[in-house]
Amino acid sequence: MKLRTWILFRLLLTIPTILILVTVVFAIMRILPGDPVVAVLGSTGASVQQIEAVRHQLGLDKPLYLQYVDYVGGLFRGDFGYSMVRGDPVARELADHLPQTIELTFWSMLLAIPLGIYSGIFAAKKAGGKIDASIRIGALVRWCIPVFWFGLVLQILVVQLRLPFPIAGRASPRFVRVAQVTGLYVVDAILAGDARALVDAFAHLALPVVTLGTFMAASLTKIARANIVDVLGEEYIKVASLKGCSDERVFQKHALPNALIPILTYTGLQVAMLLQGAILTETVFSWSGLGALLIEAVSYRDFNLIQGCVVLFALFVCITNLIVDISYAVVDPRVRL
Amino acid sequence: MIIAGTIIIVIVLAFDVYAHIVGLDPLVTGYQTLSPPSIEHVMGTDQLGRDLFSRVSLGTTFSLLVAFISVIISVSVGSIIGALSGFFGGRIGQATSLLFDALYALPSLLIAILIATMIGPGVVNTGLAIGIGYMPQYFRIVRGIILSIKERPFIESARAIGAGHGTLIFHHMMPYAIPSIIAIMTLNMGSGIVEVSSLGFLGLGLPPPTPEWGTDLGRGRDLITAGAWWPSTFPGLAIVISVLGFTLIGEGLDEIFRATSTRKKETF
Amino acid sequence: MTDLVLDVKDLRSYYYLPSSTVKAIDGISFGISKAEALGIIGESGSGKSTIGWSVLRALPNPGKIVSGEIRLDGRNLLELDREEMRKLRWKEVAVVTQSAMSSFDPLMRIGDQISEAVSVHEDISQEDAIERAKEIFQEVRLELSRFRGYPHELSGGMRQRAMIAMALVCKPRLMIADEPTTALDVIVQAQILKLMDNLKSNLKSLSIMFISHDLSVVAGISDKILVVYGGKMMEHGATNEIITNPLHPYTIDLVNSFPNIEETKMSFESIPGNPPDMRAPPSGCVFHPRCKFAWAKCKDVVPSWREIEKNHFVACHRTK
Repeated sequence: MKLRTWILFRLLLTIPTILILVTVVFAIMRILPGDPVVAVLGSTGASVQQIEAVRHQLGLDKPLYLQYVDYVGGLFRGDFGYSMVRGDPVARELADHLPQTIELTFWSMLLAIPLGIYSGIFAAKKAGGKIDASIRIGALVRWCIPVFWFGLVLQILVVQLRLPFPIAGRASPRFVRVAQVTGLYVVDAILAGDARALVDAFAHLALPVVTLGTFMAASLTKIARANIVDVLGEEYIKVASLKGCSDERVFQKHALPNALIPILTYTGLQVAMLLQGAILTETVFSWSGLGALLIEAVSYRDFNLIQGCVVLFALFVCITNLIVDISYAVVDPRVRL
Repeated sequence: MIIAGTIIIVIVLAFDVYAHIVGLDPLVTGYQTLSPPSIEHVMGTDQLGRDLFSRVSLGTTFSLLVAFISVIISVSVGSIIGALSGFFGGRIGQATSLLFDALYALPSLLIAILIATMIGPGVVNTGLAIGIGYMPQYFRIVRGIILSIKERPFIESARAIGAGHGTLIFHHMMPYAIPSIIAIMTLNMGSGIVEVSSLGFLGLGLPPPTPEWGTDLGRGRDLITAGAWWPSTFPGLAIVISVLGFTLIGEGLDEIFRATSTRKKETF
Repeated sequence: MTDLVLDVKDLRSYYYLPSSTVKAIDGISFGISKAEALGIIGESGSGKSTIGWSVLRALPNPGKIVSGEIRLDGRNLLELDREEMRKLRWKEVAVVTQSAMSSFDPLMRIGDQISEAVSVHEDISQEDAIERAKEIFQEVRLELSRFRGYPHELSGGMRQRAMIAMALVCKPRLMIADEPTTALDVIVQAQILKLMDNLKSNLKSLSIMFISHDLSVVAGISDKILVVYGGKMMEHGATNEIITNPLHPYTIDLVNSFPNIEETKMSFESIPGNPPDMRAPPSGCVFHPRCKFAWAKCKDVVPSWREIEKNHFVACHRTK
């Protein structure tokens, strides 16, 4: 079928997918043991009436299916409910914290994708040799280092070695007011034409991005190398070589394009891992992004807020999968049939 | 690779066993608080005056235990449902597929955080929280394998002789899935350890004063600026080494299984 | 003898495995003339494919050409360095293999892959290369509408034709076909063989080395047949000769194991025993363990290669 039709189908498919994810989140929150009301009020011996009042206020006394309908309906309107602890709309909290996470993940990907994939390609080219082995071991070890510990170690190094890097936060206090337009410090600094703010933003991005980016790069390296080596063993590579193509040409024109497709898919799927890492990285470096918001909500048992964060994460993943699937169809003629 | 991994794990376990034998107590306070590594306290002491070496060594037990529980839970539930889903197919198959796909889309740590919040701390609880996030992996693999061999002649003939569903699934089909499952189980031991410590770092998971690597290094965070680097460093080192050990074993197994299943015939 | 396009003399290629050495071919000599098709027939493990890959100097890794001469139009291919061989390969000698599906890059259009073969060898423009590719495309009876298609869009037979087209686009002197029809069903197989036959007559200077285990297929297309077993030559002669008057016991068995559409033969004879273990081949005549006519001498002495009748060579003690 034509590419356009396929893309349309795929876009339509997103809706039920999101619906299912939202339902799963809803189910997890409602079905697991633990009473949200008690959690919110704490074990300070609230009276039965107080508990009932809060329960009614939160709509938790309605039958489950009504709660579900309310919830999904609300989502469509952009209404994520109200934070039980803070009282303001969850949607606003999400919007406030979103830019931080976006900035962190964006720059981390920007570092991770070229670093990871090029290392993988390089290792594959020199497969079997010492360089290949070192790259593979390096990636493997980095993969085994938990994101949060890596960040902590960087902080320790900065402190012990007295390096001039900021170890927490997004910007030095005097530059905070610069971020008014998008909430993305780098973009805002550029928009404001403030060079010092820009440098400051990058300085604050440095450690977190290295932490998260190298982690993602490690898994990309392994996948990239494995896929390229696999492809190099295929029959058509041998034929291309026999046909008279130089080794370089075989690699660039036949091996890489074929290997990049599964690599691409895998990269898309890694976004889930990236978000996971973001949660931890934000905590370590005290960035108040969605991840930190989630952790806070969790510690307060703020159900609506928790739910909102998770739904947003799920949406992220959905959208990324969509982008990956579409790119896949554009690049690989076999998919469209 | 496997050999290297196994050696590492053995070393890690040795620490743990040593600590148990010697009777180190991770809970004893009273040593000088926050003293850097020395001969007496090889890894230093934490802010409550506890010996870090004891805590890190005995923490091995907990991390490995929780990871193990999570793997057992995810393998058993994931594989069985996956097998049933692939075997019976139809609506059940599609429904379960959809469900697990949705679960697979969410980051496993996220799921673990949610569940851990709901059901509270504890070894088994944390194991469960982590395990649920990894179920989809096993579900997918087993379902995929079952689907691909379901129509093969040898299954048909087994059916013809009167083999029941149970026999077909467990005796005839599952063996094909075992190599992949084992490789992934090992790798997930590593991931499990990382997740336990992530949860610990975030304040979830095992209750204090249990010596857990992640929790300990999480509490060591605020001390970094004060110059106390060891409370956060050593537990982390322990995590890296043990995860490395399991990952090496898992990757080694994976390589072996990959090599034997895709061996092409050489024609002379 | 007229000028030979391919002249192979005493070729030996071994595979050096970690535990043992497999003498895949051990003393093979033959020649192919211009516009001639030689069929090389043998079982799996007989070394027939190794012959083809040795000529191409493209043996898979533990394999090495140990000794012998491979002369293509007089030039000894074994004296060329890697780069010279790369330039020569495909331009003078090309190969068509069994697996047409996996021989094409799934992401590139068929036509582009064929014209690629031209552009890496000749310094011509993109358009000209495409024109050449289109010409050969039609020569193999493929519709031009398929030219811009992808490999997965073609049927098995079409892909095989495309592979033949790709092999011939540089107008090589020799085309090596290694089990080209084995993966195809009988009807498509017949079409491909007919195509190859036509190409042989249309492209006047095309010689073919047709490698197969299927005698009926080989017999249809070849002018001469070479029978190999256990890495050694058993018999060589004109196709008609071999089929009607096989002299080597192995050849006799081969011919007998195929049904003849004209006769009413009811019983088939198969060849007893198993192919030899090439890590430790039998002593004396390689075929003796399975030979109905073997006598004591066959176990000890390697039979010599002799011309029994005109242009009909055999290596067997039994024939005098």
